[in-house]
Amino acid sequence: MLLDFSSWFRNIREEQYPTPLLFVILFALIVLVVYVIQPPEKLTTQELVARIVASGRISRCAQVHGVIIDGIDYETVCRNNIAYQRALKTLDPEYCKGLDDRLISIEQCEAGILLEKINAGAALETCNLVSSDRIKANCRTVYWMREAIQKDDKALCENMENIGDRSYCRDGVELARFLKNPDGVDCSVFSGSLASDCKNFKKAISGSTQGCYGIFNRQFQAECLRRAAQN
Amino acid sequence: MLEARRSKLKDIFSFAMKNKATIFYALSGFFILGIFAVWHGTALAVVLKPVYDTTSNIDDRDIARDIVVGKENPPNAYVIGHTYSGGGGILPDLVRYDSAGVAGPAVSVLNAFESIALSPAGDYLYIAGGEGGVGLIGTIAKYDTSLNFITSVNAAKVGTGTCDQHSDINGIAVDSTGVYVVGTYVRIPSCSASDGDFWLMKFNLDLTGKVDRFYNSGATNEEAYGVAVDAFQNAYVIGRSGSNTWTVVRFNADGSAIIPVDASYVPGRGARDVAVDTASGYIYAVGEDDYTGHGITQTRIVKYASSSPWTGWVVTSRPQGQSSATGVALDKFGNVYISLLAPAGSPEGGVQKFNSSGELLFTSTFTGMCAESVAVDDILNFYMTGKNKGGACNDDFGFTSDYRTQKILQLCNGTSSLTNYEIPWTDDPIIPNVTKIRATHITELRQWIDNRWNDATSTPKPYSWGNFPPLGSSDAEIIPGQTKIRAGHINELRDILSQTFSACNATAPGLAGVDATTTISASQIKGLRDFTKSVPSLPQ
Repeated sequence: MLLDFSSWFRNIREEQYPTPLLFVILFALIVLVVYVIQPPEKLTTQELVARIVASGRISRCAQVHGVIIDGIDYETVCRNNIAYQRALKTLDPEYCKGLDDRLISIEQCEAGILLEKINAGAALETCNLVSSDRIKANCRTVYWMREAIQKDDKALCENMENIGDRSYCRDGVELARFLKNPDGVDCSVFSGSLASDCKNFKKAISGSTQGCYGIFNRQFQAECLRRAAQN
Repeated sequence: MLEARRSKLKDIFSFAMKNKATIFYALSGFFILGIFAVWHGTALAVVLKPVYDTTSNIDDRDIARDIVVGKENPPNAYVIGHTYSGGGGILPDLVRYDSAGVAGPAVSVLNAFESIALSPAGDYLYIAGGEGGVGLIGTIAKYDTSLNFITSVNAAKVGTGTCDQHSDINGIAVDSTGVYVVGTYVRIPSCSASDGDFWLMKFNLDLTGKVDRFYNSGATNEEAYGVAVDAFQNAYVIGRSGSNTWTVVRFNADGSAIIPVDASYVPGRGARDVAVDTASGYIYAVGEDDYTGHGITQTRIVKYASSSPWTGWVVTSRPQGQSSATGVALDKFGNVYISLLAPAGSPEGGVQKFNSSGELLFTSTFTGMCAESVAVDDILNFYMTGKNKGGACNDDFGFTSDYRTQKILQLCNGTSSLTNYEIPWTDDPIIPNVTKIRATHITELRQWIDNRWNDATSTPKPYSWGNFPPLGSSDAEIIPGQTKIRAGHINELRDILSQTFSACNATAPGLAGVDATTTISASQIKGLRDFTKSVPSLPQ
């Protein structure tokens, strides 16, 4: 049906509609266009993806299907970010499998999530949640380190598979003991760089703070500076 | 009458004798206050106006580590930090603040990120970090400026030794050719003694193509904290070697050599951050100096030339009881901003600004602030981020802390050397079609623009007249009867006026009617005079 404005214009010409009423109608139309029927907000693709990620609805990633920026497919970025944020939020490594494994590595995600879980107090069996043997081994190492320090038991370090890790773990237990009771520390209990840190600590606390800067372990150094400054 | 006056004088003298100590101290106080006021008035050539000061409490110990300013208009600020939760885990966050300080949602990222850098085009953020320790490894990640995670890569160990233990990743820089990341690579050759080296990695902008380089000074341990890149892709890495050795090293771009720039004995934790002025090639390293031997540290800032013998200057300062410089940034005029904190004692940190000659321009500190990093935008807002806490800044473990980020605007201070704020122009007013434009008119415009610059800023002038080819002029001096007034002279005047407005954080006027593409006219000179007078250094 074609719109016929001729009668409308005729009515205006013949002043069937009063002029003030026309002004009111025109004003209302302007308000409608400017304030009510606003043009859609212009978002960059990246801002749009950020909003979709915040919504957590992976199906909405299709909105950026085929959009490539600097060689990167933003539908993949969108899906990766949702999977990654879910994994972080729930600490469930299963969500890492939703990553594309090219831009963001599944293994790297799983390793990080397991680390967070173990640090938050999870059991050893948590390490079996992933399939990679390398990540499982790394997870077990972090677990035994945590257990040995929390239980103040160096023997637990022997459960570690890597010799270097065992030595690092034993030092960690001794360092935790030292931090609880810094007086009367016996430097022979430490190995590697912590042994020399310990010797430097003993020398420095009775002298100037400048001796403390030869200490590389941050906690050892902080304690050294605190004590030397008191002298 | 005379007797009464004599008696009164006697009373005054007697009072003065009885209270001479009080009077002495009062007069001394006034004298010191007077000196301070004069010093303060001349040294503080800007007014600092806080734009925002925001804190956020996420967990027990929230520490913002680094900040960059985006290239949006108006610019956002991007902060990387991490928080130690009650359960012992580390939950790092990447946060975007808009120009008013409103934070977008914090994006959680894995690993303990220490530093952030912006791509030269301003479209991508790169973050790097990772603490040493069993099971931990350094990571470098790329985000777009909407904080979408694009990709990441591990700073994989290079050696395969069973006792190679851990690596700390601390610094990052980006140029148009790639991403530079530094950390400490710890080798444990015999499983009994460790040896850390400076570790520089360079990646392509998509984080592929890793190339590793190492530096060992010969000392038992090196620790690298920061990296900056010059215009020729040479990377300057700073940190410490052994104990008490402030270390700066240049890794040549072509991989040909690693050149020691500085290895000075400086008690303390060494150099903490570095910046390069890509225009001049000057290098600035900042850190601390435990000069008393009793833990009283002062900030240390060193400027190096771009090549051997590297000579520059060293400036130390101690605005608080103890001070340590943690970060450095440069503005477009080559001024140097350092973030600082008080390592022990009452937490009070902030920002100091120096000119490129090492002269202190101002100190801006805040109670509770332990500033870990500083950034400056194009209109000279400066930003600092760090932790807000109630105890010593260096003690991350003993006190709770919150993220804290501040943005501060620099304004001109409103003083002026103009008598009654009037400029005694020659031929005032200039009358179109009557007044002939002469060399004197241009020369005095130059002189008064110089004067306005000096009033408006405490910054040395970054320009010299007659040094603006091809669109400007090459006439350092306008000689009456010899130098022909040309469009180039007008262009110069316009450019410098614009810079003067910018230096005051004010928008330069459109300079309408001063269009140098048309014939030089009286109205152009009149317009330039008006704009010269309106440089915003008059009382506001």
